[in-house]
Amino acid sequence: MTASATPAAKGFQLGSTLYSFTNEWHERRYGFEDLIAEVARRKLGPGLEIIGFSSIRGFPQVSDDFAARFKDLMAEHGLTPSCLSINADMAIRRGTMMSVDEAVAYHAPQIEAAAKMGFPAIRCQFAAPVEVIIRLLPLLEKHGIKIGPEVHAPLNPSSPPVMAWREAYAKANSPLLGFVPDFGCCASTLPATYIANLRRQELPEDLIQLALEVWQLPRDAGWKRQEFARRVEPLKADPADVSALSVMFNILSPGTAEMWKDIMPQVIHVHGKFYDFDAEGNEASIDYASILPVFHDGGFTGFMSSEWEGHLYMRGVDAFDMVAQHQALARRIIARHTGQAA
Amino acid sequence: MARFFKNAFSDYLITPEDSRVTPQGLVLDLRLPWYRSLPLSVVMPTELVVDGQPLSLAGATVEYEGRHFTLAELPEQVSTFWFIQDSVLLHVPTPQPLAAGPHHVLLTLNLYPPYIPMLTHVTRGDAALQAA
Repeated sequence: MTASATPAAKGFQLGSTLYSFTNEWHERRYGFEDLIAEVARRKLGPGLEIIGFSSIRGFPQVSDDFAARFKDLMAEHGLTPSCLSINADMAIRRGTMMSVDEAVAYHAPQIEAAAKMGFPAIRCQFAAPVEVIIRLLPLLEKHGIKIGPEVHAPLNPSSPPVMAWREAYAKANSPLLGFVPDFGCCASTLPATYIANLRRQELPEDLIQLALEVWQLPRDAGWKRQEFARRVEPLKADPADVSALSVMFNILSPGTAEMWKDIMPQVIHVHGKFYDFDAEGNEASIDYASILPVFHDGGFTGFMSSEWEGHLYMRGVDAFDMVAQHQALARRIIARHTGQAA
Repeated sequence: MARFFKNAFSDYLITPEDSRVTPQGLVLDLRLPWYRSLPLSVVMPTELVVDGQPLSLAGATVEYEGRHFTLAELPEQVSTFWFIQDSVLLHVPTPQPLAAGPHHVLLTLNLYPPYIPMLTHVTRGDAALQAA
């Protein structure tokens, strides 16, 4: 089947986020246009998500020429802009937090950039209070763009920060306000290859064990980082080792497929987070076979970006191949679920 | 000897082929150890060790897009974004020229990702450089 033109099944559609190709991009092996062309050549669309502050020089300023060229590229390659990821840089001045007014002013040009480039949805972040997004609703309405913070590990749909947004959304009552689930908070464990890599990096075993213990605790990432720091304090650990290990608290957390039903009507976009595959081609620590049917049956019709984050620790792996495997897995699961041929 | 790679997004923090030793000091070509561009306000070199001895960063400057910033000026640079595919140059004066031959440099860099308030991400990288 031609992946770039055919949806996974009736239901949601597939796509890629350029975040999957972080290493290829960071190592300067691709320019912006080459990278998009390669995504299309490998048939990893049709949805294309980008992180503004990663892919676009000068973001959030986007020139008319750049926006026009981007739209031409999408048309030329048969891709569809799915989501623009923006940032809530509340602590851009170290030691202080932006006011709500400042945060509104910081987000507005990022929303304008999404509109200019033709993105129908925006991923925002919980770092900004929901009041900021509510104040930007008229701008979002002007452009008809949906927005939602990413429900990312270690949050889940009923975590206190998410509940605060759900309550504010209930009052605002706009179809443009939603959420972006990230499947990293449906992990059963950390990938074995991830843990093996920590050992290969020669991080001290006692620190690794302490970090894994803290990872299991049902608390948010900030708490886990502090708790880990507290537990390693007597060990006089190298701060660079502590930072390297603390990454695990933000990338994956335990959760179930069913928990997404609570917010399913408000899902505007999905991050299909993945790291590695087992011998059968299943994601090694995230149970897609239980998750994807929940979204299919829940009536989600937007895009799931394949979001490979194994680039954090894997080297010599072709990110495009990883995304292709992820999309093949998604197609198999949906085909099995719906009784259609993959 | 510190482990080379603590930099999650590139196998370099210091790019050896683009770094150099000059009569005035070191010019280190740094790659951003993060996945998105960050304002220079949240970037801070904190420690440099040359051949096992600490080298003061007191007179150091960061050069980006042709502008030089002292380290004290960095926290104010909230609208200068270090683009992910660019290097910055860290200029560090040495009290006297480094002797001809190989030198080992080890840099610690702190990042304060602005959308993750309270997080200090400490990263470190090293490189072998040749002084003429």
